[in-house]
Amino acid sequence: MIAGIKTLSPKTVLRSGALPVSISGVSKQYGDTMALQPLDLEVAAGELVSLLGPSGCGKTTTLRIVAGSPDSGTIRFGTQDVTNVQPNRRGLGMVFQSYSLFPHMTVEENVAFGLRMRGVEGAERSRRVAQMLDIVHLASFAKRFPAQMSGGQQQRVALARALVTNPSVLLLDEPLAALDKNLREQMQFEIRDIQRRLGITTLLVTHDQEEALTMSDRVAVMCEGSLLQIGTPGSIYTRPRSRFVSAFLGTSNLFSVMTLGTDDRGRIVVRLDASGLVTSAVPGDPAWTPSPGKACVLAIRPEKLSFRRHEVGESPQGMLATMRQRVFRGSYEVCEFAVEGLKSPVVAYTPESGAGALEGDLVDLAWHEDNAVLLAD
Amino acid sequence: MSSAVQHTHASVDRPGRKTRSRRDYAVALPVWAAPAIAALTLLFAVPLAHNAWQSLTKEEATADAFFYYRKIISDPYYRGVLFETLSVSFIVTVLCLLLSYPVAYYLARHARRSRSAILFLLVAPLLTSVIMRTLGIRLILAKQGLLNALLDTVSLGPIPPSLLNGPFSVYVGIIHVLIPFMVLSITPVIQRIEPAIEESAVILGAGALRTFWHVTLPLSREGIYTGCILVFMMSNGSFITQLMLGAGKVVTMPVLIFQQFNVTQDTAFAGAMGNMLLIMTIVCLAIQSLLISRSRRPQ
Amino acid sequence: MSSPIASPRASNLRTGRASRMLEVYVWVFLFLIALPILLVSVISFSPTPFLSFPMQDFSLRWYGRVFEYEPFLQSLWTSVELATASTLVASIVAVPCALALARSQAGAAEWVTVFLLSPISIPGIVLGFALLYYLSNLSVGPGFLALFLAHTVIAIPYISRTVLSVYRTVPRSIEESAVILGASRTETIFLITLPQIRYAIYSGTLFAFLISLDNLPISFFFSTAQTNVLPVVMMSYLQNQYDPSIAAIATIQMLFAVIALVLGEKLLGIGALKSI
Repeated sequence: MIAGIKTLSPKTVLRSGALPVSISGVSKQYGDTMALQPLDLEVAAGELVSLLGPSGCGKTTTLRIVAGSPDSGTIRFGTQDVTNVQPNRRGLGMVFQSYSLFPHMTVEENVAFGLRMRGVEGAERSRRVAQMLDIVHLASFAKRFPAQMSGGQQQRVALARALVTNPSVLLLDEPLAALDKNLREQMQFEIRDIQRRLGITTLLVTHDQEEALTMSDRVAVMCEGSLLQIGTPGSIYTRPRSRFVSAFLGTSNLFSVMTLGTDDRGRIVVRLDASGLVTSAVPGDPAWTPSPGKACVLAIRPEKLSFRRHEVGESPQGMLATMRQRVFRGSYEVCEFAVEGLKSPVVAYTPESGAGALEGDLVDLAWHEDNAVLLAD
Repeated sequence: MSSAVQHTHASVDRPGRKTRSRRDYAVALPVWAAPAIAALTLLFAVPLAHNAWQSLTKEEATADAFFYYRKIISDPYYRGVLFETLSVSFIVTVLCLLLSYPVAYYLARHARRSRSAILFLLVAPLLTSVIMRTLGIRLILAKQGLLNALLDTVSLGPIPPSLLNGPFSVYVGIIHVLIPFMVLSITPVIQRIEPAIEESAVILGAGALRTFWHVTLPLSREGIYTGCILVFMMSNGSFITQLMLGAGKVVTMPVLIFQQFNVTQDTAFAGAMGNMLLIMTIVCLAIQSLLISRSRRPQ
Repeated sequence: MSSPIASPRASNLRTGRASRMLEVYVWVFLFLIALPILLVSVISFSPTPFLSFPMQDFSLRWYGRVFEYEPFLQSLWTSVELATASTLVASIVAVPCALALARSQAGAAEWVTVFLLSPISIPGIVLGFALLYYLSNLSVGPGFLALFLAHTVIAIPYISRTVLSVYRTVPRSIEESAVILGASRTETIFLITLPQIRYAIYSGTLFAFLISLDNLPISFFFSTAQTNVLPVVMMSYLQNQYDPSIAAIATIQMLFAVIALVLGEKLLGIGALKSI
């Protein structure tokens, strides 16, 4: 961490060693639209935080503010306030969605560019370039031009170019969006691996929730210019705090319910509006305790639902439903159920093919109470 | 850390957002445009304005500002010249269009390996002197020129001189000079039409001709407008061809200006005619942008 | 990749009589475009003082005449000087302007661009006439300076046009990457921006150069006995004397243009011509 450096000479840059990033009260307006509401975000040194959300939610705007300037608020790297520091002196590394390699320079020259700008010359420069090309497995491509390389290779060059200068902060703007699925999955692991090894504080923008869940230490879900929820992938997934977050990550079955009170284990007791089924649920926001008689939403993930054929004459164990469709998806099957009183079908995922019930059967749907999440709306 | 949920309006995909966030960045400063703008203002806009002003205030126009303009429109000779200018340009434009479109279509759709050769042959003449090209036309169409020599060898009579030294030669000359511009205007527009669209028409039952008429032609109209307006404007301004091939029989506005300048030195009148030509050009440009913005509006 | 359509009607669009006819038409068309130019070159070798067919012999006498008749060579040289000077100055002024306009978001930028490109559309004779009287009011009479000013004003839009259209296709993110990697404005322009658009600059400049060489409508207003440009000399020669030496000098001028193009291609790469 840098202590007390206030002025920067033209060629000094904020040196490496992971720096925490602190964004406070930062906002941005374009014309008369508020692209970003005042936002606070703390990223710990060496952490990878994803900004996740649909188009227009402000995630790219946030990223660009870290490389540019906000309308209000401050940005700090460590103890250094960089809000008014020129972008070319912030010591950043950035990879754009379109890679933006310099077409008229070779791979080597592209990667060397940042070092050249910092006045690193000769043997030292060649050594660092070669080392970085090794890390991204492109050593034999050094003399090639970007146009002669595949998308995945170009992406790795862009990454090498961003990392070779030992930036304090790495910004990734949907870097994998242009790659096909298999390559994307492979690159997710590779990038994460390099990031961990080098310990660089990283901000990743993506609209792909799988990517966010795979790569991040924490995920920040954004919508319409504000930050909705931030947390580890696991906590965001299992304990969403709003309908939007729960729907954006994976799928959820959503049921309208009415709160009845709390039980002795601290769970909220609710009644389903549609079928009158009474069950207990865990609030998404642990700090929230709704009073009885409130209308809320119950969210249950499809993979947390289990079912078995209903034995005639037995009392229902869970929710009674009729299986409508069963679709094979490769590693799992999607089952759709019709429940009396509900307009939309209830969806369950099962890893077992064909077992449990057939289309048209009457089934009991059941789930563990820990997996029923109560949301405000 | 805020976790409030916004309920203002429905979450909607806004594709425009992505491009707008890049607004901040440009490597060039706006002030860099200043020298060019100054140069053009001083050496282009001001002289033209000065010329217009002269034509409204000098000599015979001191008493009556529109004297020269009225003269051009009311005097039958000058009106005839004006009309001649427009009709020559119009005929040239139509003929250029009919002759060029097939070439543009071929270039856009069919030529693969010969593409650069064709483009070269189209562009190369633009780099030779206009005088050279017009001289060449004269060599073909003259009384003892190539055409007559060829007709002679197959015992067909020579073309009557009245045909050769006059409007016909002028049209051939102007069309020869302007055709590359028409082809180059239309070709990229046809290229942008996805072949799959034409193929869809065929699958739906349209023959080659109907596909062309109902699909290709309408979709290429922007190129047609651009090409026609360009050729029309350039034809308005041509006079070398008329001088070299017209034997004095084709008098359009630029020819008259040239003559007025060389012979009578009636600068105010020449200025007024030049201004008329300028106004015609501006009207053409206005029509062009109108046609193009109309053709771009969703139907 | 083969077309998925196999119906006989579709194949008419690709092969078959219609498209063969089209091909023939195109090549006849191109031949007719090239014919006048070829003819002039051929006639420049004619042994007789009048231009006629068929030609019997070869002779270089008209090329000799070109070297004898001083105004031809003098004016060719003046034209080259003029074209070089005006194109150079125009590119220094036009390129930064095009860079600024291409990225500008100001509403005025569109109007400024239209204004910048407008001289191309105006008939040369109108501009030449207007400039003559305007400049002489400023005590700049006909002569090299006036020619230089006129040709520079014409060259600016030609260069701006090609640079603008090419620069607009260069993604901003490339320059942004350079900045984030630490480049200053100057470094970004010289290391990243200009190399990206260099072909546009070359071809725009080349085109403006050749246009200037051939410009008659404007140049004719400013020619004097001392300072004359080739097109004007050729024109008056045609009207007064009319012999094949005109064909010879025209061929020489064409060779000049061809050499300029070939040099451009050799020095700057084949891409130099792609953006005309």
